[in-house]
Amino acid sequence: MAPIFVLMLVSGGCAQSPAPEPFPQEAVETWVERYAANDAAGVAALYTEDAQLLPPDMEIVSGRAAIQEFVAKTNPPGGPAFEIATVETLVFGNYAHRQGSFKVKGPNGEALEAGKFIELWKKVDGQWLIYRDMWSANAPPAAPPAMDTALDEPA
Amino acid sequence: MNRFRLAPWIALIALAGFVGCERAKAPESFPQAAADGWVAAFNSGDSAGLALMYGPDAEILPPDQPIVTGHDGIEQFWKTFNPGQVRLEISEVESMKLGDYWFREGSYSALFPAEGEPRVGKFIELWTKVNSAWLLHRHIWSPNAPPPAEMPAA
Repeated sequence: MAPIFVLMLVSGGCAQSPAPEPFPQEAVETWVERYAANDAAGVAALYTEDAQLLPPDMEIVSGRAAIQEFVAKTNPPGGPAFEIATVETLVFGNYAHRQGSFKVKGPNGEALEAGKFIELWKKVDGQWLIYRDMWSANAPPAAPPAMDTALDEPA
Repeated sequence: MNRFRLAPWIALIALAGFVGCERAKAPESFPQAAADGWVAAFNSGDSAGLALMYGPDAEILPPDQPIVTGHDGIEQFWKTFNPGQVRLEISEVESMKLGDYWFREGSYSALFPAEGEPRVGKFIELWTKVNSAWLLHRHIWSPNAPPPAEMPAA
């Protein structure tokens, strides 16, 4: 019996792995609050020092300082509102994957753009931060109205 | 006495269990053969073959288009996107085993017909193992610059 008992102990210890943590939803909500408040420094602080943004039609933005500059440029005060929805989360120890969708809304609530994103989060010194952040729109940017069409539009 | 006779066996079993644990923890390498197969299928315009390299609930997240889901949708997407004329090269930047998944980030260079310079971009993939085969679960990419006017987005 004793060898079987030892084997069970060894194999049991081997199979045991810590239960996955829930996805850090609070960190996501902080991101949304700071983004809505046009707090570029606060948003950048939610990324790891070696984080990367992978924006569409642009080169990769690397590092917290560059991310702060990017957020300040693309999300100025008075800019459009931003809505985010989480579609899927997977937590793997110190990393977590999140997929979601976003909507950009104008001052009157009109939809300006919709898209999707994938993020990889990383736990650094006990804090969940974004390590990779990639997104794109669901449609090409709207072309500016042609001059003759614009002239034909009623005032 | 009996206890002393059992001792070597107990030690042996414990050692075997320990070695088994260490092997289980040893890092695997990224399933490069699957990734190479994807590029080969893409460059030959094999959209049906490409679709088979995605898991049953896979999603691709193309730029300037809605998410594409399901084997049929993914096959149709690649059939439209590349009937075999686009030449693609991939460079891996980082890969990590995350639980039962592989995360991979990289860059691409896609040479379209009638274009002298390739379009370059970046991608993120999440791979999953289905029936011992590594398949794509999520696949998002975007170019590093807006695509040329009146050309398909890459």
